[in-house]
Amino acid sequence: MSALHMNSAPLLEIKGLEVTFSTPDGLVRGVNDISFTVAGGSCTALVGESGSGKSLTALSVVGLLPGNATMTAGSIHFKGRSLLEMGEGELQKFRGGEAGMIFQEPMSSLNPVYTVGFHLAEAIGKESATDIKARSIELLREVGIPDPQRRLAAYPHQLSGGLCQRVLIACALARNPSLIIADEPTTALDVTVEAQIMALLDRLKVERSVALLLVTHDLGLVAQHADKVVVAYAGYTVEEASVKQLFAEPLHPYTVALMNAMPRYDSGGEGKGGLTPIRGNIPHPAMLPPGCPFADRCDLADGDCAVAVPELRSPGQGRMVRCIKAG
Amino acid sequence: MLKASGVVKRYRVDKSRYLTALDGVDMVVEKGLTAALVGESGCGKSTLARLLLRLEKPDEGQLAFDGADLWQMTAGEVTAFRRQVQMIFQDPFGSLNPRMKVSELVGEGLVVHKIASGKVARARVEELLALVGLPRDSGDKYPHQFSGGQRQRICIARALAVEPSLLIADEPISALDVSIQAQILKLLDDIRQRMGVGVLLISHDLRVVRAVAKRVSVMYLGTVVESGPTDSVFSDPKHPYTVMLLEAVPSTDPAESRVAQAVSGDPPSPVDKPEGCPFHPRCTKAFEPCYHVIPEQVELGGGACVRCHLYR
Repeated sequence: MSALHMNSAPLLEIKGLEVTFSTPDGLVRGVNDISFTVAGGSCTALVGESGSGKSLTALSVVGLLPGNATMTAGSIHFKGRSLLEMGEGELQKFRGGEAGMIFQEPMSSLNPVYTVGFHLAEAIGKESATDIKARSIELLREVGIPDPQRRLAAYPHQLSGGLCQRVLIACALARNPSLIIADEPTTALDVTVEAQIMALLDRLKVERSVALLLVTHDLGLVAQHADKVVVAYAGYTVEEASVKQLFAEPLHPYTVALMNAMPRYDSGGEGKGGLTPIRGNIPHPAMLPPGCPFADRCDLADGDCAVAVPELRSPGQGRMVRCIKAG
Repeated sequence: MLKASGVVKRYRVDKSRYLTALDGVDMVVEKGLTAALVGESGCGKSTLARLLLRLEKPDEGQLAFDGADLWQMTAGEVTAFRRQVQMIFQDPFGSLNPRMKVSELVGEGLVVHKIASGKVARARVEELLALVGLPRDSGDKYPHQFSGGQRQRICIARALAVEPSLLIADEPISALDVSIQAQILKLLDDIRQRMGVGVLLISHDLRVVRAVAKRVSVMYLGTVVESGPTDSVFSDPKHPYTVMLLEAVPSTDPAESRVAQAVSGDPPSPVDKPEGCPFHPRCTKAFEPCYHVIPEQVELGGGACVRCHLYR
């Protein structure tokens, strides 16, 4: 990465994000302290298991948090502008304009009673009918849908999961966004279709220099498609590093454990690489320990870890880690 | 040993059309070994599981357990068979009755099959819960009080209660978190080694299959296109579909970037399958016979088989 690139302000900057749910049992924090940046034209992966706060973070950025959840602390800046200070009109322009969003379930993200053309027209916005049609066809072609003219009249149930996801990507591209947030975009898809969709996102990143925030639990996808990785656990960012750094030398014990737990068929030996289980379970958000949330599953943990949640600190080389033992 | 040979299963779609879910499938699940079945959604993996469990009747072909035809058994033999082959489902949230306590869920099989009752049954349930690594007091709790991984442990304890010789696990870990997946796979493998049960692992995740299975069968549109020892299938895949599947799996090494260009198209609908080899519309190596002639199974030696014209 060039020095120029390092100095320029990040496209998206999330600092100390905290999201709180009000539930019948009281307030529960879904996100405790998540901070990271996304550079323009690059792919940042946000990795974590369920309950890590990764999806809530993505939803916070586009202002789609569920009704009983609110951002209770932290800030989100896009191109240097705080999203919290934007008015409703500006936010509308940002959502679906500057920032496109793709979800996990392509089949249920499209309205079953409307055609592909209707979805695209809605995304493209106020244009003349002929312009909308031309633009729709152009978008469908760009995302690799064969015979786009005919597909405009198709309903979601007539499309496969992979085609639905391509339509959604076309919708996200309609207003030439500079950021696409993809929340587990391929989890519901078969592995061959997953490869196609990821290749498409890679191509868009290069051709349109659109930045990608890839929310996923699959470290394989991260290794192959991301430039930078942010690892989340129990609502905290626990590690941030470039893909090369992270896979060469993971620092946080959770990242290390996650990598060892993954089955990997490309490892040598008997093909028995990986699959070392992490003992215990992810703590419930309402019952987080006072200290490091990973301490009771961690091999390095001792008494010091139970005192307070470690600060996110930099061990050098532009990396960040939230652990008092690592590095 | 559970064996399927030449199994065909068709479902009627409307007056004149049939969906051929399984089109001449051979499969063997042996005691004490893990066999795996992989393929994309819609290829017939779960249909085969239902047939192996004798939940549905094949239209053609044979299913046999220890040499006895599943559909020529007496009622008593069927009951005995049901005890021998147990199932673990994908969704541990949907496969446990929320109104039953864990001890009832795990102990139900003992009562149904008249293996134990009363105190003996209770002791056996406690033993089983310990075996799958659940806390001692779990028996008095309800499923909702457990996490996904713990619920899958309950399902495994329930399956083991009747001392089966085979377990059929249909995507047992795909609803679980990455850090929990390894725990459940390890538990299944421990049980296989300690109790000598055979496991049929149905999965779409090739990395998981590579890590735990001894033999693997790759399915495409209702036929097994390649089968053999896991190591040889993964290190030297023969069928172009297997090659494509393996290339599609993202490597966990950032330095090793694979070209995913070979992957193209969606699997065709099983209602109107292409003529000839079902894979030819997506195959980069298709040549004349592939368009018209369905390939026969070819033995490659070492227990490996492939169904492709390239290996005639």
